[in-house]
Amino acid sequence: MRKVLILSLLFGLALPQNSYAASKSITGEFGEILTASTTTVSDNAVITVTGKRFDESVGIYLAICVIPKPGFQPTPCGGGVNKAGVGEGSFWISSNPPPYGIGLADPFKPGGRFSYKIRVSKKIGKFDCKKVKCAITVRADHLRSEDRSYDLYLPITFK
Amino acid sequence: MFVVAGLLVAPTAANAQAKIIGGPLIDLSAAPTINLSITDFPSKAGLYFLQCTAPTGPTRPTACNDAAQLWISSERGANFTPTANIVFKPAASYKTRTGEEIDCRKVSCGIYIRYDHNNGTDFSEDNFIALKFKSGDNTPTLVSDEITASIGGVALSQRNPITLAYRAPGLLLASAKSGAALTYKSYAPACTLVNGVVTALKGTGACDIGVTSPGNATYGAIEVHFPIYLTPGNDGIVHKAYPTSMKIYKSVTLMNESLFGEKLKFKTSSKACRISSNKLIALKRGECLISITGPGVANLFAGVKDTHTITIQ
Repeated sequence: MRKVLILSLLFGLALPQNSYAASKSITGEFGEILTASTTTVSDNAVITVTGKRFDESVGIYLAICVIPKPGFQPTPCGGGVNKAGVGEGSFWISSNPPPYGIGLADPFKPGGRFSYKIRVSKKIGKFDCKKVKCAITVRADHLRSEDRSYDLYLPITFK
Repeated sequence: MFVVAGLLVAPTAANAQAKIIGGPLIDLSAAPTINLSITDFPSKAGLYFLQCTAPTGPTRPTACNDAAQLWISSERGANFTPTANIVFKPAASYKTRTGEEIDCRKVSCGIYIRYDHNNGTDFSEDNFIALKFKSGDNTPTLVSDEITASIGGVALSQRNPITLAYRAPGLLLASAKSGAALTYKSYAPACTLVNGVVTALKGTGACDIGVTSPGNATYGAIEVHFPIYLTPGNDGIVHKAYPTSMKIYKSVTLMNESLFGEKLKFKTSSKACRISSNKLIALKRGECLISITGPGVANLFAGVKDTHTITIQ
């Protein structure tokens, strides 16, 4: 039992902050909360993903992505970058987008909130989320694409 | 002052950290272009570069040219980043916002440097670089347009920022002496400016609202920057979402989300009703007073603390 506990602690410490939590909700380092209606899904299912207390001055993408190595940008993601702001696979949420993003990005609701229904596909490009780890993913938009502090992963499991 | 590669090294105040290099600073035409660069940029905040008359005492000069002002900062919306080649365009003559005509061929003018609005009360970077204009150059320059603006009825100032609370919408109204149509821009991501309404997206920090006039035949074009300090807001409830009257023995599920999406808690000590979670049951005729609370978020908004009364009939 003690051995299991030690291994669990070591494993936990080795993981990057915010990642790989087997839960329907995760809190980021700035207090932002990402929640999914379920994280055990079937292919092509539609799930509801909500966020609250996000920093409204930082635009984000919400998508299903393959979980990358710690510290790397999440990629590939279903729906791509989605600067066009359309589709059910990824969403651009920004209250203060550049001029070309006005009308394309959705603004945050007061309280740093958003709510979307996302269609979940087990295939992201050539990757099969039954074989690789995938997650409901939030990352800073392309204006801060190198900033990993806004990355959040809510892992999903395919039935 | 000594010459380096054809440019002039500006004198630096004894206690100022930033060192300004560039020029020309003498024999200036009526509308010169001065190229400057900064080394040892301070870490506390950005800097403003303003064309003003020479300070005559310990206070900052006020006879400044609104059309020759730059914000040097790493923040989004600044005119130049600290490491950029800074292009400063003063004028041989200008009119201050109080209507005073300044002729820099007759009075001492220069570039006044100071901390930006993020550290506005710190004078340690205050510095003055004198400029000398050619006396014979009488090329006419237009007097800069004058812009007055307000948010939510509070007058905006370039030097004394107003405060705006998180998510408290503020209607921006502005006009120019020239009567020209103005354009508006929020230079900081912490504020949006949509359809003339400024909304703070954070409860701390600062925003910068730019108002631009193209000028006209009488007044020169100008962009004026109005800094705004942000303060935490107040969460609330939609009173309309709650009933004001109920029939006895009926029940109702109360909306349990605040305006900012926080989960609300309900309590009552009234004998006319009972609340369990957010389900209210009318027990007796009379007033049912509910207290409603919700959590706040540090540095963003204070939580809900409100009451609502329902008459049980």
